[in-house]
Amino acid sequence: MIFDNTYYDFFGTTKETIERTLATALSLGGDYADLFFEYSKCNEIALRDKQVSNARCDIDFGVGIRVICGDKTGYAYSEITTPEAMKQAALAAARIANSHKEHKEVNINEISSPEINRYPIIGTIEELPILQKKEYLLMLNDLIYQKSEHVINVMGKIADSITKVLFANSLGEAYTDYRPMSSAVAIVIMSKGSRVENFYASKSFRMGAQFLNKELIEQLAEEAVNECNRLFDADRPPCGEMPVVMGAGSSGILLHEAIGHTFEADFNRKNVSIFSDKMGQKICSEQINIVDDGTIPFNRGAVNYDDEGVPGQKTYLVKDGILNSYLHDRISARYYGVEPTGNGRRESFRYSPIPRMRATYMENGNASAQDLIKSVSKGIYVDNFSNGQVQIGAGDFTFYVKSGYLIENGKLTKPIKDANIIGNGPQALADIIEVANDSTIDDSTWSCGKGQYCPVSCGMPTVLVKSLNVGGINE
Amino acid sequence: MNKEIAHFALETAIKNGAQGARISYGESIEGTISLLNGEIENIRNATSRSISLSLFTDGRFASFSTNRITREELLKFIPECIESCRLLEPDSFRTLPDPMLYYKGNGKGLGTEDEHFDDIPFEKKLHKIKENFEEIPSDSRIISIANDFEENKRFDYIIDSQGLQAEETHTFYTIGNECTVKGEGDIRPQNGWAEGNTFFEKIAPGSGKKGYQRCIDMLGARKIASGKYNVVFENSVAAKSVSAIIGALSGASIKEQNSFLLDSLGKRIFPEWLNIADDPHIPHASGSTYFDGEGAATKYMDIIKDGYVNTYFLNTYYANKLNMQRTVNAPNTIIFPRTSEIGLDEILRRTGSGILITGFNGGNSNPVTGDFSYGIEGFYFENGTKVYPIKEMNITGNFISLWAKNIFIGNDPIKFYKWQIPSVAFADIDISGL
Repeated sequence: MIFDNTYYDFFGTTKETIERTLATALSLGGDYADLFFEYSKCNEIALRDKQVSNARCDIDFGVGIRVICGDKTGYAYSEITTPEAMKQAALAAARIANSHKEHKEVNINEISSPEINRYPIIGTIEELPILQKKEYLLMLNDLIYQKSEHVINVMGKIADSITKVLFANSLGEAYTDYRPMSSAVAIVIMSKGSRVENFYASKSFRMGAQFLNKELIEQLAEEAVNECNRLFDADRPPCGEMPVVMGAGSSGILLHEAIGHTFEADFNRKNVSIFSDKMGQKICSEQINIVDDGTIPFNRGAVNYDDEGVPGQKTYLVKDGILNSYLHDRISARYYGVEPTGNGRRESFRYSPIPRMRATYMENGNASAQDLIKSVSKGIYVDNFSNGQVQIGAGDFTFYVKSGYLIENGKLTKPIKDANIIGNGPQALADIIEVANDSTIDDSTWSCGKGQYCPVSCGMPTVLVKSLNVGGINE
Repeated sequence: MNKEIAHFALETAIKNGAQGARISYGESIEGTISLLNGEIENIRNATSRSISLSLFTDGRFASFSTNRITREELLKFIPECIESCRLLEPDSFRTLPDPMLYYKGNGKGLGTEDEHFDDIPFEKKLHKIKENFEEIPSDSRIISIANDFEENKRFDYIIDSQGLQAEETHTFYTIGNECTVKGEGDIRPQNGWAEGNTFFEKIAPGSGKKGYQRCIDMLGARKIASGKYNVVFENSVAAKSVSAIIGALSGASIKEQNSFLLDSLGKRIFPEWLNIADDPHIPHASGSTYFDGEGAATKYMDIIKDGYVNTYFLNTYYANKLNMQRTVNAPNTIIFPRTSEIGLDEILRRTGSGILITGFNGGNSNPVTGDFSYGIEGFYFENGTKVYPIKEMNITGNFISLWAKNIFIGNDPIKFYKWQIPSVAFADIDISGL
């Protein structure tokens, strides 16, 4: 990204005002301060009852001011960017420190990295006329109804946003970033006899106008109808502990919940994560490599810079089965004496950044997906999920299976649905006994909640987990 | 409070071609103080203002929001909104509510505002949260103690082109904690408790000690065998037993046929002893309000009465779409109007043996079937007494059949929760364990 000088005007500020505000933020003895100016505009257009008759647009604007003093954080934000408003916010954040020690003058150095832009746009999706977006939604509606006579309702949505960021800190670093995000969603409700089922399909990328095309709409329609159809043959699985084959792609939710959160360094710095004492230790099979990556072009978790000025990067959490790195923001990196990993992210200027995942995935192994299924005599195969959660200290994680199959004697048999799976992170990781060679990033609208929302993505090759607890029916 | 800017937005919308408009103006002040092991870790202060616009233009509808609310910005923003609205397809079901339904009072009387909110010194708040920390006894098993104080004040002002004008102010404070202790091996059980109140001076003490005890009680948690068990939902998590029912009765769910309670209105779906109501006028309650998001006056409403489904939650749009009477946009304070004489201890005693659920860990439900599957933790109990903690297990079932197996409803809702659901017990429920 090239530093965009027009952002000063856009945010109603100047380089000098920013330097003065940073000095004010440090005036009570803080070690570090940063300013995060943000403007976001989110548009949404919705399909209901075969009509595109609803739209919304939301604008948010402001500046967040953070002061760090040791491991302590003071935070304030202002929706007005006048020098006086920012001074008041800076003083509020500055209260975290109270030493009045001397601090250096801040001189901003505007950083440009023209070789790096992980989400270049051809044109903003906002420039696409509503009429064109409307056509895509009507196409989605028609395609879905054409694919099955059992469809009784279709809902669709195209959402797009642009975010402009101007960041500066007391180290003198400043950057600008222009972040697009687009997503499309199809919800289909189908009926066969007395039975009704629904399915939610989505796609999301950090893209502008190039996001919307006929192929994407066809993919969504196909996935929504096919997956919903599958549910009519599905029942709840048997309950208890059993082998689970997790299909390639969205099974990355296992990594996100079981491992990703517990590797976030704020939890480890506070010694509350179950992985707090495991750095450098072997925690799973040596065929396992797990990555958290902010560098995948157009990916929902891609970042040019994180939200505290650290360049986006690819971080190996697990390398050859050994715990290699936590996910760091500036506070935890300083605590551990390592470089920040570009994981300091925030929902908006209203929040202080904390360690967050980006795109979390497992690299390929050597087995084939078919061989993994063949090796299971009685278990389940799962490949569609809706949500997950983890208890950081206990390590217990869950994810909700929207659909999958029973595995009987090495073959996929009856479809299953609506089962919560629960396991313990370190144990589940150690219980991954085979990894296939079909790693896939899932491009659905994944969002992570950790007190504040953050767009992420996940991925996985097909893996076999020796045993997980499946919430089902007692046979 | 800048009510004038809301009126300016309304006039601008009408001048630029909207035939109808509703403007919701909100201001909020939030503050957080967080302690880690007794020392300040984070302080956060925030003041926000925003305007939301619902525009009815040439038979079309769209909604917008912005926090850039100077006259200059609104003069640019609102005409763009109206132009966007004109590009949509007409929808004759989108209308403002019948003005007869509007709330016409002054927004006072429910006691939802602590008038001292702006005057409480930082040191006093810090003292309160330090007290919470100091309640926790010294224990070598403790790894970490996090304590949080949160305060929020929100002013809402809503007007529309039919003459609606309504306003309310709410304040709320929470003091909570999370303890992390050393368990078996690398496991670090965490648990906590929070107390909340509309008034700073009325926040109940004791949450520090209670949070610590809830954490210690979970040490040694294990899995038990899969099977059918009696299950008790503790009052702190009992809302889970009704949340999907409330969701299934929303206008959106009913209209989109995305509900397991389609065509249920007036039918007995639940046992005759189940009564659920929305009581939006409980003095000082966090969910209390005189008007909903469209400015319509709220009132007490039976949701489930003697097992019969008594209402859907229909705003103007969904009422028009379904050709039914408007009710309320969404419920506010959900209560069980007819509880019993027994609390949790007596429920456990009468239930005999089973699983007491004190926490859920993930899971979800299917909106069109009512099937659910959730991760659980809590205690295995026998003869009405907790025997040992359990974790890493699942409860699975269906919301209609769950309530058909209801055996007890307690008398112990937590009064500062927005959904005040007492402890409830069910027989013969599928539990997945070993």
